[in-house]
This record gives sequence, C-alpha cells and structure tokens, in this order.
Amino acid sequence: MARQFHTTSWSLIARAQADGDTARGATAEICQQYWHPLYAFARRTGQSAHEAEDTVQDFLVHFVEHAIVARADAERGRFRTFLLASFRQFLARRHRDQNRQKRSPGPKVAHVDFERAERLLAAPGDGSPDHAFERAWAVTQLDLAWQRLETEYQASGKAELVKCLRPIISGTATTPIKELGQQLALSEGAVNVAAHRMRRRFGEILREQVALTLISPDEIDDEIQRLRAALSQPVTG
Amino acid sequence: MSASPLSSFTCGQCGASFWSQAEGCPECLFQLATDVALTEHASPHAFTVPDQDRLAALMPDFEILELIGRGGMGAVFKVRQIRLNRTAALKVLPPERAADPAFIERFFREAQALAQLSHPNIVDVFDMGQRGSYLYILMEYVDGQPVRTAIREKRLTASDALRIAADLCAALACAHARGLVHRDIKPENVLLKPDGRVKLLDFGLVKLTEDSRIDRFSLTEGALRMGTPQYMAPEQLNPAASIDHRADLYALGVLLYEMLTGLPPVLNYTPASRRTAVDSRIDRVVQRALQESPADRYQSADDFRREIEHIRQTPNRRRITASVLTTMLGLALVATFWLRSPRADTAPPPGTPIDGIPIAVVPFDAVEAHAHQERWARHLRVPVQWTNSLGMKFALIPPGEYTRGVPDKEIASWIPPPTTQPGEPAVLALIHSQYPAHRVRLTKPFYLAITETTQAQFDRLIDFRFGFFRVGGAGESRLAEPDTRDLPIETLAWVNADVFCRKLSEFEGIPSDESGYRLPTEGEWEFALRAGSTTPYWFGNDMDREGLFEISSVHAPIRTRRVASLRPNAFGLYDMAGNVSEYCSDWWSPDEFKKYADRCAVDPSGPQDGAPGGFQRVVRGGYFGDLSRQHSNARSRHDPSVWSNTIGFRTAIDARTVARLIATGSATRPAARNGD
Repeated sequence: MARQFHTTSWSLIARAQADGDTARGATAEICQQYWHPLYAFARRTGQSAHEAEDTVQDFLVHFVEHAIVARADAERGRFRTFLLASFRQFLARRHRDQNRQKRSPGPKVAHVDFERAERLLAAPGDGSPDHAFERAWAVTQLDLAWQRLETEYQASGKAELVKCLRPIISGTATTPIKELGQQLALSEGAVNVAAHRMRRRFGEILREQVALTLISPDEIDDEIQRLRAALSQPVTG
Repeated sequence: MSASPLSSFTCGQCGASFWSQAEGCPECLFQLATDVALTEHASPHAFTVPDQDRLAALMPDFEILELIGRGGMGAVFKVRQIRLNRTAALKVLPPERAADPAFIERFFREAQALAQLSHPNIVDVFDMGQRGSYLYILMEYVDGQPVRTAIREKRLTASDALRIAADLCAALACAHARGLVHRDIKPENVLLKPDGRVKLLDFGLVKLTEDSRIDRFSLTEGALRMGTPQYMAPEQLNPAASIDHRADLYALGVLLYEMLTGLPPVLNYTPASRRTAVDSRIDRVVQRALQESPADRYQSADDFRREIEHIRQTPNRRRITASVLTTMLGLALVATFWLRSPRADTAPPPGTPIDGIPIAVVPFDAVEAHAHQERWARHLRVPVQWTNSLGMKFALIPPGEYTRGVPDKEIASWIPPPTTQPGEPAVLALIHSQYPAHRVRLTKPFYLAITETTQAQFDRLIDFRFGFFRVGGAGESRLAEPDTRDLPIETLAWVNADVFCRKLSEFEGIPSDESGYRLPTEGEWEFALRAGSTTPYWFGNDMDREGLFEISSVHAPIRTRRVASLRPNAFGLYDMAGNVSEYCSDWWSPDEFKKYADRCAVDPSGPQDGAPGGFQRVVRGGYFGDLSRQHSNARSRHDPSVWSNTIGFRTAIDARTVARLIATGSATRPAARNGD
C-alpha cells in the first residue's frame, strides 16, 4: 500500500522531521492533507490565489522544519486548532516582516486541486477565514476517508464495486440500483448488501480518520458534529 | 484562477443540499461515522479487518454472516457453523500474532484452560485454532449489548447494578478457582442480554495478548494504548508488581460504582450513595473493592458476592433516606453558615506564625528565603538540603503565604503574548482559570526535589524506558549527545509519575500508613516556584531572553536540557519554570480559584474529584520552546493517562516523614535493593 494511514497527525509530523525517504513521504502527505484548509483560510484573509499558494507552501515547509511537534501539548489537543493557530502566527509574522527575503521556492506541493478549492470558496458561507478553514478541513477528512476506502477495495480487487457504489453512499447517485447491478453482474439484493457493508466501512474509516487528529478519543463525536456543521452551514449568501 | 459556476446538489438519501459532488453529502457521511460508535468501539489501533471472502475461503465450515465488532485485539464476526447449524461468534486475531511462535504456544495453552471454563455468565469458548495467517477463537454468540451502552443511556437501576455485579462475582469465582484471571473487566466486556442476564467476554485475552505488562504502556503510534486505565488496579499500572485475581475484584468495584452513578470513581471519589439514591452500605463494598493494596480488598469473588447479596436481600430504605437526609442537612448547615458570615474565611490573620515560628510571607528576597529555610530546618531538626537514598536532592520549603491568581482588571495584560489566539477558547479558558487573585496559606513544611526527576532516577525504579529524548526514543534524532541520564524524564503519563512516587516510598521502606513521596500540590508548587517573588516570572519582569534561568537560549534547539544546568531560584530549586512542564497532584478545574474569591485557601489540594475539569490533572511551568509558560501564574492541565514530551515531574515529601527517616537512619542506608 502506498499510503500509511494508521498514523496520527502528530506522529506524521514527527516522521516528517526524521531523515531520508520516510521524511519526504511524510512531508508530502502532510502537504496533501493540510494544504486545502490553509489555502482556504489564506484566501479568505484577502490573499490572491497566487499569494495564498505561496504562503501555504512556505508555511508547510516551515511547519515541518521547525519541530513544531514539540509544542504538541494539551491546549492544542485538536490538530486542526493547533495547525490553524500556528498558521495565524506565521501570517502575523509574515505581515510584520514586509521586506522579508523572498525564500527560494521549496518542493512544489503535488496533486493540489486549485479549481476545486476555489469552487468550495465560492460556495455560500459566512465568509470568515475560520469558516473557510473548517469547511475545507471537513472536506479533506472526507477526501482522505474516500481515498482509504478505495485503496482498501482496490487491494482486494473490488475497484469496480467501489466506483459504482460510491455515488449511492455519497448521495449523488443518478443510476438506479438495478442498473448498477447489471453493470456489476450482481442481483439487486447483493448490491444492497454490498452498499450496506461499504457504508459501515466508510463510517469506520472516517471515524478513525477524525480520531487521528485528536488527542483525546472522548472528543470524537463532538468533532464529527462540528465538521458536519461546518459543511452544512445554512445558505446565507 | 476563476471559480467555476456554482451549483448545489440534493442528496438522494436525506434530501440535504450540499456543494461539492466529489465528497458527497456531509450529513449522510458524517452520520455514518457517528453510527459506527453506537454499534462498536472503533479504535485507531484496530487492524484491517480480514476480507470476508478471504476468510470464507479459509474457513469453509463457517458461513460468515456479518462483522459485529473490531478492535485492537481482533475482529469478531457473526457466523453460522454449517455442520452443527448453530450461530456462533468468530474472533479473528491480527495476523502478526500468528507470526510469533511464542504467542501461538501460549495461545493453545490458554485455549485448554479456557475450554474447561463453563459458567452461565461467561461466554463459552467452543474452539480455538489457526487457519492460514489467522488465529481464531470460536465462541458462543450472545444477542446483547455491552453494559457500556446501558450505562451511557442511563438504563440501569441500582438493583440492576447489584444483580449484574453479583452475577459477575459468580463468574469470576468460577474462573479464579481454575487459576484464570480476566485482567480487563470493563463495561465493554460485559454483554447485557435482553432478559437482563450478563455474559463476560474475552477471558484471558489480555494475558494472552500481553507478552509483558510493558505492552500496556507501549508508546507506539497513537500513544493511547492504555485506553482505560480507570479499570486497572494500581498494581496493573506498576510494571514490577505481580497480578492476581484481586485485580479483577478491583475492576469489578470500578464497574459497580460506574453502573450505580454513571461515572467511574476517581481518586477521592464521592461515595455512590451521595450521588444517587442507593443503600449507603454499598459505599463500604465499593470502598473495600477499590483498596489500593490487594491485601485490603475482598480476598475472593465469593466474599465480594456475599456482601452484595446481603445488601440485595435486606433492603434498607431507612439507610437510603438517612443518607439523603444527611446530605440535605449538611447543605442546610452550610447555607445557614454562609448566610451568617458573608466572609466565610476561617484562616487566621495573614502571617500568623505556626508553632511560634514565623512563616515565609511573600514577598521576600533570597537572603530571607534562606533564613526561613534555616529557621524551619532547626525547628524540625532536619537539613535545608537533604539527599535521599537514590541520590535525589531535596530542598526544605517552609510554611508560608502568597497571593495566587490574577485580579480581574489585570487579566488582559497578563495574557502571555505568544499563545494569545483570539477565538482559541481553550487558551482563553486557561487564562481565565487564573482568576481571581486570592491568599494561599501553606501550613506544612515539605521537601521538594531541587530538579525534575531525571531519566537515571526514574529508570532505577521503573523497568520501562519512558522518554522521547533518549536513545531509542522517538526524539533520538534531536539529541545533543547520547548520554541522556541527566535529562528530565518525560513522555510519561501522570499515572506513571504517581506510580514512581509510590515505588520510591516502598524503596525507602516508608510504610503505607505514613505520608510518603508524592507529587506536589499546585499550591505548594507555585509557592516553591515563586520563592518570595511577586514579579511575573520568578527571575523578574521579563521573559528569559538572555537564557540565564529557564531556557538555554531563545534560539536553543527544541529539546530538553540537563537538569540544574541554569540558575536556581531563591529556595535552591532548578528548572521550575522551564525544561519540562510538571505534573501536580491536583485534579484540574477551571473554576478552582473562584472558590477562594472571598477567603484564604489553606493548604489547597484542588477539587475533590476530576469531574468539573473533565478528569484532567494540573500541569505547571513552561517547557523548552515555549517562553510564555514561564509565567508564574500560567496554569495548564493534561489527561492523566496520556503522555506528552513536554511534561515531566518532580517529587515532594512531607518534612516530618524526612525527619523520621533521618532519626531512624533509614534513608541514609545504602540502597541495597533493586540490583545495583
């Protein structure tokens, strides 16, 4: 498996500070996991898309390099809160230091979907940087859960199944179950059973995914509700 | 980069609208993650569930019906045993277990013992074996829910709780008679059937899956291996102690209390009869089960059951009423008292001497600090600095008084700047916990270790290598040098620090009825930190930017340093505000100081139990890499079962215990035990 999923956000950072390939892999993973929420936040504080891209890039390099994990303590229990607090400090420092040397660009963050990020920014919301951050964070958690589910299914030779059932589970299905069954050569009942199992597995994975960003497992239901709320903000604009 | 035109989607399942097709309907998807918790305990350490098709191929004699649970110890499937046409539960252990020959040997040895165990309140084991890379256990399928669910949904009455406890006692008596100890009794492992009977799950599994008890502390990724320490008997937290059936009786005591009150008991817990309408005789039963020393508990499950049955069969309404009445009467008395004296301050006037000896009232300077120490040392016939048999150095801290906390109007200006994040509620809550300012009076002289407990000291007594900044630790790559013996021990939970204190008392032969080594209270800690100062930092008005006192340099690498490598405070204590933060003995409550709004706190030791602060312990002092917490007022807290590489501890001990040790010569005896 290309990705190591059973890793808390904290230990991912710790690995990124090691040397060698593990570190590079972990760094890339961090960038992929946290890029989107930070970008959304930066954009909502008034930065242009290009500025925001640079800022997030610089920040992530700084974040990994500066052993910020050492500050991993109680108040910053939620990784989300901690990451955002660090980013705010970073922005404040950057703002103060207007004449800063333009740093040489670090490795480019791969696989970033700017267009999608921009589309989410355009969705109605309260317009605050915090909300943009939380919403993108929630989307990222869902993304990661989907990626992992797909990897698992692919590993057991069920790539087709997950591709067909995903729309059903995510509520975006337009194809009737019967038709899906024909595509998959399964009875309607079998499709329903498979969908049931996949739902359950997705729930487990998503729950684990969110748990990895917390210190105390007690917070998990609260955190899930919060992420859900961030995405279902009533339409105001 | 322009935004694409936006359209919203309507969920085909719940009808909610959402904006991004890529991930799908957040309402439905997050609901899935919530649902999982209601049916099982998903754990970040759970192994990947074996694919059902693959499993079916390995086990042709079973029809795999559904996955009914998974956790760190395996996954459980509901299966049909085809030949016998019976439903059963199949537990499949993680494949890495089957790769360990020693484990397989133990597994089958344990299987034989378990097979002999048959009791109506224990889940029957039908078979155990190995297929391919999986070890499996075939068990009776029980149609029921974990007792955890019933507790959470508050469905248990006191009489249910007693009946369940009695049944579990019967089950344990049967198992203990065969030399089997469960070791992991908790609400998740007891299944409640629709008819109200219970079945105990997973007998012997903990022993089986723990090569050594060290496994329990394993600081592997996730760091939360020791998930439910509240059910573990004290000896289970001590890697050197031997564990017998009395550990199960302790856990059952915890479970009984939790079934009655909905909350697990914690240190200095409120008796169950004061939380809920229950026979006050239960309090004694719970108390006996929860004795720290196994010798003081029930010695057998039968003894435990007899007492429960006695209470069940002789219901005593009067006792319930009496208990409730006592509480009400108590409240009435408090109310009367409170009405009569608007300042309920029973402390003597500020600065009142103790035993005719002046006490150390802050502010005082370094010369006066030493004079106070000398005066009390003479009075108690002890030295100002004392070294115990492990070579740990302690300073005598005299009784005294100081002002703790921050006045309301100042609070904004005392906020430590680098951590100020408007809208970060956790940080703001910590700052507000420093309000209001109040007088603290400490009446008991004590010794406090002049340094944080070092790795070398900790390793002498605890046979498990805690620590991030050490060779083999996760922070090895950040070490300045391989010799880390004099670095403070960190990356250990509060409970581990507590165990160390107890072991240290044992090591020096301090009997358990004498007050031995302990963590300092928060009140003691701050007095010792201040050492007479009233400035924001013990060394002055400004952060330690020159790196003289608590940090080696503003630009120092983010790691711990050797203890006592910078300057001590006026009491001779090193690294109080830096290096690592330190655990105190108190439970945390954000409102603790508010209790003292109009009175003096005399020997404060924190809230009675952890409930008001979410069962966390007080942490004080700053750590490497964070200047702001050097502030003398800064408070923090931490979950007592979770470690951090920024937190360590130092030990305290009452001066009168040291006086006794010195008088009887027991602390100066060369340390002959424990090997070296």
